[in-house]
Amino acid sequence: MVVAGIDIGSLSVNSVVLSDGRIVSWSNIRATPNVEETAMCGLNKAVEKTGLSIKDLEYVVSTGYGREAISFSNKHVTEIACHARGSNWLFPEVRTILDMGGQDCKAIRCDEKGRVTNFIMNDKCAAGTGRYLEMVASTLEIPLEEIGPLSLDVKKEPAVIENYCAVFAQRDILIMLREGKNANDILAGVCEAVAKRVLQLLRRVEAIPILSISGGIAKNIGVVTRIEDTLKLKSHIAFEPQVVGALGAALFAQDQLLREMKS
Amino acid sequence: MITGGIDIGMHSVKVCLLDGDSLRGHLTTPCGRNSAKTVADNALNLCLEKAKADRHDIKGILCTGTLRMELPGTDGFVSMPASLAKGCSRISPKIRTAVDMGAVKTVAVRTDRGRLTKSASNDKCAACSGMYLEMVARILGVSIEDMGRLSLKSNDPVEVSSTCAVFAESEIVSLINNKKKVEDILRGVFLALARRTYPLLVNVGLEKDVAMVGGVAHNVGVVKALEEQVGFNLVVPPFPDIAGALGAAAISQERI
Repeated sequence: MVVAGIDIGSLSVNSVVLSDGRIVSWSNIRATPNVEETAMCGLNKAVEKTGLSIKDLEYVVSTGYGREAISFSNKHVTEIACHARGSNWLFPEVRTILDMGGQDCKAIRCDEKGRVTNFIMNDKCAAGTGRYLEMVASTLEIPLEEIGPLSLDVKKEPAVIENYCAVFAQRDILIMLREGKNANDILAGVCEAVAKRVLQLLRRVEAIPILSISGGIAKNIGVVTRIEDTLKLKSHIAFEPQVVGALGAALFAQDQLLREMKS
Repeated sequence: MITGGIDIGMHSVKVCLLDGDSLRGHLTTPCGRNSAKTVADNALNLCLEKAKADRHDIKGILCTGTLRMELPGTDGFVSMPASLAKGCSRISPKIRTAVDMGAVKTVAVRTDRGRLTKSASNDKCAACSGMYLEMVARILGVSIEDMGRLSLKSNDPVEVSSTCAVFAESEIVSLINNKKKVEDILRGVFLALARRTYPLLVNVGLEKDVAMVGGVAHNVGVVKALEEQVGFNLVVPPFPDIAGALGAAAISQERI
């Protein structure tokens, strides 16, 4: 039984292929304005690795921002349900999930079966999202992946980013650079600011241990460390935190297929 | 007796020289990379030159604006809402409410014959700012000066659903990819901006006449959208960006 889940986000498209309940392959590609084409390309990339073709997929569930915009999925499920499901499958003891994506951030509470019991989401403002970090990376002219490690290498006090808004923060960063502030100190301030935003969401959803972090920002050690330090706990992070939503979608695809086979 | 007002904003410095009821001179210059003090000094000197006056002729000078504290050496500071309230009632005594839309901040004030009675502002989020419009102009490849006029050609404004300026950027890029017309995108952006600004005006109480000042008031598209939102015409003075500096000069005059 081969099924797939595809998570079409604002900045990335992630796919997971499950064969008889095991992850056999996955892919993570950059999103483009052409949703259908990118989604097909991402799914193909994952399927190719298994030696199969898209025709062999028995059921496909789509999720994420562009889940309704594609024609080849059998069903679509919200990314909140998918992240809870995916995280629960990877880490059954997890009860709170923090998903930090490109254009939104969600704090999700789930039960022992991975069903969503509560969630809070910020999708109105770029503060605390991947887009914010991308903007910082381009302003400081460093690769996105280096923000985390560099932010932990603080010489002096981290710079304080006073402005909440990403647009104003970019201005602040330019001014700090002009004043000769150390780039790593600025990055430390940026990671601190992002952690502060998401911690507010976690507080509002009344987060309980055990926590898992998914989405692109989970790859940023600077943000993750600051969240863990504030909450005084360790979080669970998947082998590829960006595919957790797609994994959840693939698990839903498997459920659906089993249900259809029974009836 | 000449008095001066200097308004140091995030993007530009505005200087105004007032002699009784007549405007002796005024000037707006971008800050660029220079310090506020250098820009303000240069602007003041240029303004004096244009007004054919000497620094010693100025009997008092007050400073206002977001970065006012960076300018020592003047006679004192006055808050931006107080300056706006004073400045707008100098522009026309009939003005009771004013909205100032600058590069970073949007401020709404109520004025009672020049005295500030209520104010509300947004400086937390770029969604209501001139910087948002600069970003839109940049991605659409139009100039800040032309964008207002261009939007008036629109027959079918787009819906811009993102509030956040960062998200709006990607939304606009996809609107361009979907072959939407530039004028329709601009009009959609201005309508959304007007919708977000309106609550600030309601917050201070919308009493006629209502003025729109600040750099964004040069944009006829935004003015039109805001007029449609409030349901009547706004007063836009010929030099909308100097309202704050004018108010500071007027307050300085009254203090003497």
